[in-house]
Amino acid sequence: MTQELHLADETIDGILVIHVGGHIDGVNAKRFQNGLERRIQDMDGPAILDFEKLTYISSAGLRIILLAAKIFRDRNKKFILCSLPALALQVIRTSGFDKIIEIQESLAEAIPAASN
Amino acid sequence: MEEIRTIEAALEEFGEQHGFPMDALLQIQLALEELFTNVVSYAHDDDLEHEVEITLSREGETITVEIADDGCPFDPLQDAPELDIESSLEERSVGGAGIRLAKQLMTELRYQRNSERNHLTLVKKI
Repeated sequence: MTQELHLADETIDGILVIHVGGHIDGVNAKRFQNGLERRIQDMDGPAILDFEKLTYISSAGLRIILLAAKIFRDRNKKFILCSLPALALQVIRTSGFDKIIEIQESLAEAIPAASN
Repeated sequence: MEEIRTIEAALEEFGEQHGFPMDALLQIQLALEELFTNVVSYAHDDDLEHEVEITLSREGETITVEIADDGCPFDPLQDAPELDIESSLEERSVGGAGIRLAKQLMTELRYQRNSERNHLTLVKKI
C-alpha cells in the first residue's frame, strides 16, 4: 500500500510546479519538508504543488504544506495546490485549509490562476 | 513513528485477507495513524518505554480496530486540542486536525479507561 514519496519539479511559464507523489505520513513528513524547502528556498515566483500522484497524506504532511503556504504568504507570491485525490481533499477540507490555501482541480487550471 | 509502517503492513494484510475496498482501508489507516500519533504524543509524555497493542477484527461489514496502551489516562476524543478553523493563515496550526479527521472518517470512536490502560475503539462500516 505504501508508495514511497517522490518529488519532481519543473518550471512552466515562470511558475515552479512541484509534483508530489506517493505516501506522506508521520514517518517521512520530514523528508517531504526537506525536499520542498530545498526547491522553494532560492526562488521568488509563484509555486504550485501538484498532487495528482499522491496516494496518502496525514496531518503530519499537512503541517508541511501549511509551513510552505506561510512562506509564500510572507513573500506575497501565489501558492496553489492542485489535482488532489478524494481522500487528500477530504483531509484538507476537514482541517479547514481550503479556506486559507488556494486549491485548483487540475494543473491546467492552476497555471493561469498562479500567473495572475 | 516507524511503528506506523508496521501497523500499516498489518492492516494491509488484514484487508487483503478479508477483501476490503482500498478506500476504506486508506481511511482506517489514516484514522489509525492520527490516533496512534496522539496517544504516543500525549499519553506517553515521559521517557519510559510503553506498549501499544492494536487489534483488528471484522464482523460482517464492520471493521473494528482497538488501540490499547499503558500510558497515563488520556482520552483524545475529549482532551485533544480543538482544531482552529477560523483564524488566518499566519496563526493557523494543524493541532486537533488529526482527531477531527478520525472522527469524520470512522463510523464510531469510543474511549474507555480500564485496567490502567487506555482503550480506543475505531469502528468502520464498509
